[in-house]
Amino acid sequence: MKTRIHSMRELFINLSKRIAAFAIVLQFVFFCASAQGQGAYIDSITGVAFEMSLPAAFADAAKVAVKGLPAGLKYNALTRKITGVPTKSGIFNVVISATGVPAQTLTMNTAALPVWAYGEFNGYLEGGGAASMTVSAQGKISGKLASGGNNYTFSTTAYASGSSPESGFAFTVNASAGKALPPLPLALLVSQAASPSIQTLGLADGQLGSDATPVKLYRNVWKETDAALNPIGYYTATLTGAQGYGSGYLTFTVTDKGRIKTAGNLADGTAVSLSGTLILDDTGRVFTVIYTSPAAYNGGCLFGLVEFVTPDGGGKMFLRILDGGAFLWKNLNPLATAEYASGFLREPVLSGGWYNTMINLRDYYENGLTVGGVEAPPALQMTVRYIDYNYASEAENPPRISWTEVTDVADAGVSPNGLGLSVTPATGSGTGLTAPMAQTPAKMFDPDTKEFLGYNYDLDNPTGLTLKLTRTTGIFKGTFNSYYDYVSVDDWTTGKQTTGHVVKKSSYQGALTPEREDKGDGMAGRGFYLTPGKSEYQNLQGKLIKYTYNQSYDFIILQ
Amino acid sequence: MRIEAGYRLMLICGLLPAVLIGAVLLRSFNPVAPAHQSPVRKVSRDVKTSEHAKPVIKREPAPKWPDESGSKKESGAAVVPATEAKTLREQAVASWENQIDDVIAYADVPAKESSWLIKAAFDKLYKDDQFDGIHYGLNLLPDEQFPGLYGILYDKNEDPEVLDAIFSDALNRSEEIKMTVLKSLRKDREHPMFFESSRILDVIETEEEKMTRK
Repeated sequence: MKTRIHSMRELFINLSKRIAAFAIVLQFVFFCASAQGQGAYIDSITGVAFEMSLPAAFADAAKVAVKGLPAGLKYNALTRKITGVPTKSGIFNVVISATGVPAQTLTMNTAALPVWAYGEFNGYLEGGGAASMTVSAQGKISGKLASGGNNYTFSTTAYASGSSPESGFAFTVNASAGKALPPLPLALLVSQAASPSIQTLGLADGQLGSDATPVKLYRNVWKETDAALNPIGYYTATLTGAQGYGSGYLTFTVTDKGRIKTAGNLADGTAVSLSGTLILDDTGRVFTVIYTSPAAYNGGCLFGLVEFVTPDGGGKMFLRILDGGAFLWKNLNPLATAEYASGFLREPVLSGGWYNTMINLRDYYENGLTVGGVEAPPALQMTVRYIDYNYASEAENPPRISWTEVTDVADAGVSPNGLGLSVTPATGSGTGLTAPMAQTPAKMFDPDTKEFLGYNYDLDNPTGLTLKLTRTTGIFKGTFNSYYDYVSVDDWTTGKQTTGHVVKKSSYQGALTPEREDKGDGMAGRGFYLTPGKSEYQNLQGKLIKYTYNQSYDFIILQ
Repeated sequence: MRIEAGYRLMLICGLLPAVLIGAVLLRSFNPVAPAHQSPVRKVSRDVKTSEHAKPVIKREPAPKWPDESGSKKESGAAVVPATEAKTLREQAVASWENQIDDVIAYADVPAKESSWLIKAAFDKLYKDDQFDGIHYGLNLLPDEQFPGLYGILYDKNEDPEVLDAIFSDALNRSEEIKMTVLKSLRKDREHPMFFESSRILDVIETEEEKMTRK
């Protein structure tokens, strides 16, 4: 028995040795395996949605625990996936453990979102609209789009899974405009500008809605950009009038942060004010988006891209429309013009440039200015009374009868055109403009017969034009008179005529553009004046409805 | 008993060195890494952005657990400990965003009533978060709820950049909001937006309106 026991002891000792050796081997294998897990790397990017399945070894494991994940990522026990949006960059050791499964460790390298992929973005919708978007360093996105008089907002928590610096950062989202309108799908891809003049310039390109309206936004880089590129200052511009309408005007204030405030008046009398951002594009051009949709326009708008240009050889900046072309000025109000429901679609050209709020007008207009290009006002519809005998009467002496007729009466042809404007004061720095003293046309009579001959318009300032220039803004305003002389009573029984004399005062306004692309054009400033027009339309019940609208005319100051 | 003790002794003697050897191996384990292949998904654009084409996002399957050939990425960065709990700063941002989301969700609450809540949440934001934060609100708040930001806008002690952002946004909203803001700011000569408000009103107001004001 002792021998056997001895043998058994030896056997157990041997077995213990073998087990110990096996344990060493097992441990070695285990640690090698662990080491392989330890060496595994997973990449992620802050602000980009992340999703990852568990290792195969944990496929059916119970009580899975995942520790060490970067902020924003979580293990979802239901889907058995690690999901979320990393919000902090760094290298993280993530340990996955479960009952009955050796723990595994991976290293998660979470890169920061590239600078060009987050920040403030501003841009436009092709065909008319403005777009802005803010992306936080953690990838949270919010923005809005304005088009057709509607405002859409959108937001999402991160860039889409799969985004990367190489291929761009993408997201799709529904842009919402409240309950009244259906949401529109918006897809954007943010990429680094192909040939960036600035490394932090990001470009967001995409489409909105089922009609795939192109949307383009540029990252605001003015905080990181050479200040010399920023055209800080004040600017004035006119939206050139054409047949049937006058010239609107805009003023711009550009700040060092690349913010632009715009205010002005369109040539139909609609006041506009808006804000925007200076955009530096991938070709180095500097421009801003002008988009506003006045409520009265029923979804119409003023839209254009205004470029700030330094003249060849230096000098003060001038403004022009990016890539040429024209502004879009669209009014969908059915009462906008004489033709009911036609609205209007006009395409004015922009002209203007830098403006010194402390301008010395004498530097630009030493020889004074001249009013010119003022269109004649429309004819007035006047009532004329006629008197005659009633020849239908069988009486020996037919009685007299009278009747009235409405007649178009053209203006007397007296216009402010050619009126000289002087810089004031007469010496020193020019701070204002003035017109000759207004004079009232007087009646003229034949000295012998005392017969009324008409009105004397042969005066220095027969239209009584007044002018006030606000030096700090470059905007001028004033009034002038138009005259209508006509026979108001025509007595055919006596041959006697009574003359009517109607004075219509018109208000005009416009802006001086001392700096512009073509200073040789002689256009020192432009504006408009309005006259009320009357029209009518038939409603659904067949009733004639009368309405008034503004007729617009050009007002030009020549150099 | 002696046998079990001997077995335990042997097992310990076997395991301890095993652990030590394993640890050393683990420390010194540094396989020759092949070029790093990121398991991150690929996104591609089918066409150039300048052509205004719709960006197409090609999503590959979610990343899988790296296989055994998973390579080690060279990095000098230190391992960052996981931060599960939100910092005060993060909490303030979350609180601000929740406040804005609530205002949008409960649109029937008068903006004037939500104004002080919005301002309180905003003032808790760290300075560096205020600019992004205000843009979050400006981007999402509809015109009806915009007056909720008046508490911030009319406080001239707020960061001028923030005030400018709100003021600028107001200029792109309805005439009612725009004119309310412009006229209110013109009354306060010390407000950072006074000058711009006055200038804009000077341009857009009619002579009659100017006379009435005087």
